[in-house]
Amino acid sequence: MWSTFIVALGLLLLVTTVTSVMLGRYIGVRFKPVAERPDYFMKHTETKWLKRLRLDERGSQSWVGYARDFLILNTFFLLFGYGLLRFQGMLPLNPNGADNLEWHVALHTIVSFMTNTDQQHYAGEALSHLSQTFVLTTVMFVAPTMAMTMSLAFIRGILNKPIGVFFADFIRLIVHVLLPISLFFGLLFISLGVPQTFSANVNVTTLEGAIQVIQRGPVASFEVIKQLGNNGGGYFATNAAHPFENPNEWTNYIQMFLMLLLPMSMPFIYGQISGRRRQGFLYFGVMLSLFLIGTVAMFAVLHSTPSLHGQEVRFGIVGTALYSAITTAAETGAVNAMHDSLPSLAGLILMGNMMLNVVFGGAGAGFMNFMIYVIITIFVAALLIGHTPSLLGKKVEAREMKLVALTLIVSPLLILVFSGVALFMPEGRDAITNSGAHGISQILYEYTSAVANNGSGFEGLLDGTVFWNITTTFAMFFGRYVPLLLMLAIAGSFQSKPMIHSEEALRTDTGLFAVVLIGIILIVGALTFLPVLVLGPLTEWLTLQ
Amino acid sequence: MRKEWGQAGIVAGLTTVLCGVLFPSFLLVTGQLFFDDRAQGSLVEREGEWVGSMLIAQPFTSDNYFHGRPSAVDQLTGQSGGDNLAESHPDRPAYDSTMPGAVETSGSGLDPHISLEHATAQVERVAEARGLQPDAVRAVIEDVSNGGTYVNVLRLNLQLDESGQ
Repeated sequence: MWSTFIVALGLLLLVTTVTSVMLGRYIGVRFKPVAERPDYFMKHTETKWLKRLRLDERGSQSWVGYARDFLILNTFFLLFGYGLLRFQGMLPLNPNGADNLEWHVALHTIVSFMTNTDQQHYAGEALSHLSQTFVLTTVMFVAPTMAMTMSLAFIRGILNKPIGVFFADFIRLIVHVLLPISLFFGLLFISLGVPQTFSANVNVTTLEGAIQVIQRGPVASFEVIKQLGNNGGGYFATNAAHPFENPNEWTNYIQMFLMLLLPMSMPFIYGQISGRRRQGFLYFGVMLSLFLIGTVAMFAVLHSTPSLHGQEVRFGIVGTALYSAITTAAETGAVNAMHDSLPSLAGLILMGNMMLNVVFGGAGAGFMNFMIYVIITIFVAALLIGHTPSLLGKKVEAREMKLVALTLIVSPLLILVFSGVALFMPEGRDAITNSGAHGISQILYEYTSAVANNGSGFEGLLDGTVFWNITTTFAMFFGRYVPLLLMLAIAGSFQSKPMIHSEEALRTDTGLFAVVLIGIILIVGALTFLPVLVLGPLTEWLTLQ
Repeated sequence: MRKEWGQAGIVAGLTTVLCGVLFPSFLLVTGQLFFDDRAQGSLVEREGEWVGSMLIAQPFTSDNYFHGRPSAVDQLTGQSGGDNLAESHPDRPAYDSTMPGAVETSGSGLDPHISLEHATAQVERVAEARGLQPDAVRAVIEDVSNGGTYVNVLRLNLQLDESGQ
């Protein structure tokens, strides 16, 4: 079994790494600042069209202008999506007669999808075809693109280059990157058995003569962008465990490939834009090491406590272990097994991946989180050797470190405070379906997933109530927008500083730096959450011994 | 600010048309042109009637059919769901290493497959109910599983019905 796992993991990583190096180069070239951008296919047509749409790229925005346009477009989609979900019952493309969503369900759903979380407190089957395609499929393109534009601006900012123009970056990312990949893999999914139809559900007569409803819809278009964009929401209630979303081993591996693709290409995009390829590979290596720790541990746990409870036969233990580790590492949140039913220690690993949020992390957002740890490491290491800390030739000073500390504190603050409140209030505790230590895990997992914008869940939790919809809406909203804006502010702060023209005291592209960085990520990231992880999954594991 | 809201409107409209309308429609049209049966849900037709989807489990209770995995949902409604019992939950059945998946509910509740061990354990019952030799039933399993470690229950039962006629 171990040999199957190692071969599967090795092949998957080989294919995704090679592809993401190429994709990183492809994106990096196209998203350099305008003045440095070389010629590429259709460049002139594109410039003409952008001008026609009044999205001229020549004047770069300040980070404040970039952030303002980011917020405006987010507001636009939040309002538009909320309206259509709230009144889907009266709108067309509703052959199965789905009802309007209640206000708190509609609010939770649109915030969930716009923040790239895709936590779902409704059953997937409760939405009309219009809501699934026109609203959610669109938003699943929008959400990862938002994070990627912010990370591009962040990269340009710390590299002392023009920040860029938000709306142009946004539409160009969709046209150059997300749409072409989605079209190809969407068609591949259909060929492998994922349905794509606007027809109504169909009634069949089973071999034993009963009438069975076969629920279907435009699943393939939903599925492909859900994985590629690290969205992770299910078309159906049980997400990618449902045989229509994930019919066989092939779709299972392609989905894992898609989840990893954009997050893995981020360090290479950085390498391309900065011209520091070696640095890009080093960052990639650090993330990969963290990824391997979690993924190997995940398989070891499933292998030592065999059970197919909440799992599907067609994926086997290898396919389930890999998928659940990857979906939490890349902050996608798609699940091919019910995480609630996985062994207790598996829950610990999955929550650990989400709490760190840099084991590749979601497209764009993960890389920015990672750079926060890089800045901390530079700060700590430089002080240890008695030098002025500097990032890419700019001094790291009190202002940046305050913003970094603030960014770091957001996610533990939200996760721990909301979990505490839910454990304290009857509305929170009543949702627990597995008593004892696992009940704490159910609540902790829900908020961790919300704040990290992952979206998977310990789905036994009865979270379809006003209390849960509202608290997780806040957790997702602040967990998304506050760090993204703070991180752009950090880049803006670096950009406004003069270069110090001395030799870099501390090299950031050496093995030593990588080791210190891994240490800092594990110490800062893991220690914050250790006490609560002891109360939840570790206690459950101990009581089972 | 008016200018930015206008730009946001243009970008939002363009994105919705590209991603929410053209993208799913393109997949719809090409999917139905090239892979129509799969795009419609891999439905199975027998004697002019839909009898199920090859990918969705349907309930089997009679002795002359192979049974699927336990499910937390009513498979006839088409809704999916697991029971989400934790490892430490008292109601959770013990794992039977001789028949993986036979006592545990599946993740989707609609798992169309069972492990070979789970199928083999049902051979005697099915053979007796159908008045067949157990070896004949085993041959059907071997044929349908095609060398894999699991087998599609609906395909298996369809094959049995066919070979019995």
